[in-house]
Amino acid sequence: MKKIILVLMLLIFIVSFTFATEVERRPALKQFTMQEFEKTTGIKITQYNEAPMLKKMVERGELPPVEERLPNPPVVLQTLDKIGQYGGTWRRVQVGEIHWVWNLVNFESLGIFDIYQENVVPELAKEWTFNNDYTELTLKLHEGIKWSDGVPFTVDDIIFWWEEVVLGKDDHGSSSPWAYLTQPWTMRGGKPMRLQKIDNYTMKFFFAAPNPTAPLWFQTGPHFIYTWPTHWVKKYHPKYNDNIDTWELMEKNFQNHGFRNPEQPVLSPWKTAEYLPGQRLVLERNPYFWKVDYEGNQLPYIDRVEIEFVSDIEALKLKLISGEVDFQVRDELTSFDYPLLVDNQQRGNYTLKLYHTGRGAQPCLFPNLNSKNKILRDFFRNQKVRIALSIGINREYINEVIFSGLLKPYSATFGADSWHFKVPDGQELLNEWQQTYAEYDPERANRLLDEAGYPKGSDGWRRIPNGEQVKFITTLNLLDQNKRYIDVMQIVKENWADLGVNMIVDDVSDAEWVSIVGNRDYDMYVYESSDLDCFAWPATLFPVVHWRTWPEVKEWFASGGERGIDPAFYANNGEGDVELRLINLYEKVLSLPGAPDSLERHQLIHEAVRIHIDEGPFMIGIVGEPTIPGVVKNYFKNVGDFCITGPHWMNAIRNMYPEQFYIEQ
Amino acid sequence: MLSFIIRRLSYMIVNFFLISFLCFIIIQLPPNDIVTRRIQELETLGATNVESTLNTLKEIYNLDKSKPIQYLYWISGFIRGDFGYSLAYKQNVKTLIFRRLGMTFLVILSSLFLAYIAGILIGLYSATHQYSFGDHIFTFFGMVGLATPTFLLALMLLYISSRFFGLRVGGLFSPEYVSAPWSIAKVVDLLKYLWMPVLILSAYYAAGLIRIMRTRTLDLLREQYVLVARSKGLEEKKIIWKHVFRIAINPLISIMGLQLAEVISGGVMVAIVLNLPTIGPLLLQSLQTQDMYLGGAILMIMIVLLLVGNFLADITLAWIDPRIRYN
Repeated sequence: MKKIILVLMLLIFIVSFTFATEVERRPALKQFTMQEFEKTTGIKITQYNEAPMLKKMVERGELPPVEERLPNPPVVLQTLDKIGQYGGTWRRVQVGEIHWVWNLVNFESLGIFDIYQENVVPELAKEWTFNNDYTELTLKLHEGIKWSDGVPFTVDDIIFWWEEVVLGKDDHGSSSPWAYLTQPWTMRGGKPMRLQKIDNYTMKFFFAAPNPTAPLWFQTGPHFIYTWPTHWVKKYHPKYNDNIDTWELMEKNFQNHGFRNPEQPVLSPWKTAEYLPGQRLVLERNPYFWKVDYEGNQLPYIDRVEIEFVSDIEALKLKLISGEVDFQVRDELTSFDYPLLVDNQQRGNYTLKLYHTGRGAQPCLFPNLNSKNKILRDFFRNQKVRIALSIGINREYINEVIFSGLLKPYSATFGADSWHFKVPDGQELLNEWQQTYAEYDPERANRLLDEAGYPKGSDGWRRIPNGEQVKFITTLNLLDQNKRYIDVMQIVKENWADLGVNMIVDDVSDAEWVSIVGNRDYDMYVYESSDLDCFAWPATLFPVVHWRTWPEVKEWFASGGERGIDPAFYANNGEGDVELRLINLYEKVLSLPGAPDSLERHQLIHEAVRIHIDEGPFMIGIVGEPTIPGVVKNYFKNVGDFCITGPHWMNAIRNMYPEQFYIEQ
Repeated sequence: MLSFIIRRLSYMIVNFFLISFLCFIIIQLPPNDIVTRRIQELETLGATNVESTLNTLKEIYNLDKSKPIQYLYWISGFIRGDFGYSLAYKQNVKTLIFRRLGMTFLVILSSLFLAYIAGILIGLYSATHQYSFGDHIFTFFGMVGLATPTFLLALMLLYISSRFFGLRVGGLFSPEYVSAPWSIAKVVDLLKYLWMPVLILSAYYAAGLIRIMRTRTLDLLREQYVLVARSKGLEEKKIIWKHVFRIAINPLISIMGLQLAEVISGGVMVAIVLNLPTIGPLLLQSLQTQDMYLGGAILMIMIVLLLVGNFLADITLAWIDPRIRYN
């Protein structure tokens, strides 16, 4: 009986969800400089307030008064529902220690995407402007921001990062461990960009060639452009510290998005108070945080954040339903957890929210069209073969059997929430792409494989014309990936066996995965397609970053021609020129004059999608996950109902402005 | 006896170097190393120009040198007190391990202690009261304890205690006591959480011990000398404890020696599910990510404990069991 009720609840839930897919769309939170604030709202803030715990420290003489800690004037942030109350501890739980922690500490970015991923808005920066030919970018920071130890944050902190660390050398002439940050966007025209200080809060970037998309990298936070506490890092730098002559101490003590060292100054709302490896991380408010709300209260509202690290996802779920977590999103929660989480809402005193995952295909299969094995290379490069492989997969069946019908079966795309699909014609393009070759038609698949020149042998397996059987291995990482992918691949293997294609699934350990994929030795591998911005993260469409479908060409592009294979090779060898056209198209994306997110630039992305639709599929998707559950305690306020939780630097929680979350006392 | 001890000691030292070298080689067998892994992570996030970074990192972590040289650096580090650096946690391995040693010893040693007491007593009882109701009950639970995976037991207990008794899920301390200085209140708090892993682990260890003890005792009770002692009118209690026990305990002592290494590696699954701050999860994680220094250091501690445990077990055996005497 209980089971029937549970299933019924789930059904009602899903049905109501399909009708209520569009959550009432509220405008993104606004952030102003004080000047803009007074002009737009007409409100004048005359006095600043601070948290009681800081007020006590000021009275004891441990901190300067709030007027001196805040920039003059501070940045003003809107709160979602109400002005918050000071105090409280935000409890979070995380599986493992990896990256997502930096969503809360030491992740401040010059700019970020708004919550709907439609615009890049300034954050640490005040504004940026280009000159006429896009070779000179002027960046202005908010004036008066201080690090969490009171030292002013100036453009020196950015310039130091670039000149002394990325391009710097130690006393033996070795490059630093951060030398990889000489990314293509910093090397336009073949030369590293040059930074120049104009005054403490203004600087210029000089590029050797037009670089109109450069500001898009400002929103990648602590990935590709860093703001470092120079005054603190200097003591580990071989050039500035006579006692050290290599990068070793800096490598061991300093972390890009570091949270492990309580002494490292930060600009984020909270800083590290205590770190017990593998156990927990405690954050405390940053007394120098540079934002206030509409009434002049210094943010954040929440005093402390306690993040507990667990090793097991089941323990995490148990904590969620017991009400031990105040706000949780991401962390491998899936639609399968709906019944459990819905069931316990009352008991746990929380509300379940539905957020978007931002993923376009989970899992996604990437055949290696640059395979070193000529037989497989010809096989995969034949469009008829790829179409056959795609329409040979019974997606509905997989969705029913493995995902309980909770996901949507369609072809792989990048994230449906991407801003590329929000411009005119974007939605139609997305729908077309999702439906292309998504149907299940094994008869047509068999015919296509025959037409492609791979006849079935007497044993039922397809062979190349001179007789050798077509066989390839799909690699799957046991450590990183969703365990359900293994089940999915079993069904795909059977589907393809019906077509006479012999696919072997190889579940490998993490170390082997690093070796196989990193060395580009794979025939096909399983991963996800989860991009939202193809300008700064073009992995899905273009062979310029990550491995995916054209790893050799990607290596060629990434190493500046030193390794990998020139795309012209394939064109000259009669194997098709799709890589060449895509690389040229990406070059156009990077060099097209105009605003970084101009309509014309988006249309170039549409052109690339068109190539994928017409000449693809270049990656084979099976199902996509439209939503993911998030858990919010009922006393935890100012948390939005809409959020796109992935992928990486989109900084899911950052876009919600966690500094304005508050706990109702 | 003395020459016996000295001989054993010298074997131990030779063994130590042999095993440590083997251990070092095996950790490095999987392709690549943690630096390459880190580079791959960066590439996954979009980094492109990684060659020079890879070289610099390899230099810093000594991975560009030949294997024998790396081994020497590593082994000599232990003598200097430098256990290496963990790339995954970005901490000195020594601090990482030592912080957790206390809790690890507490959990495992109390589990082992409880397990041995229970194992010996229940085993003896089962043997002397063979086929009684008590014997059947103990046998049944013993089998269940042996057959059920510890992590499953842990999950079940976690769920029951959280669902029906409102206890906090996992860990060894409540949040307010984790970093607090030691006090009576902290000890009381610890006990509130400690019972679960100790219960599960001691049940797990005891199951096997009960069976062994029971079987051994049963065999011994059929021996001729027991029959003679009984016919001579010796008390049953004296027969059991003075004669049979000393011989029956033999296998348990051998096992005890080996189980000293359990202290480090034991109960990893339970520690993971219950989120205990012990060394087991560290070991698992370090081996999965090829964090060479961390994994290596933990394995070295295990090796030392194993060798020392074996050594102590041999000595104890020689002392307790009058039949064993080495020349």
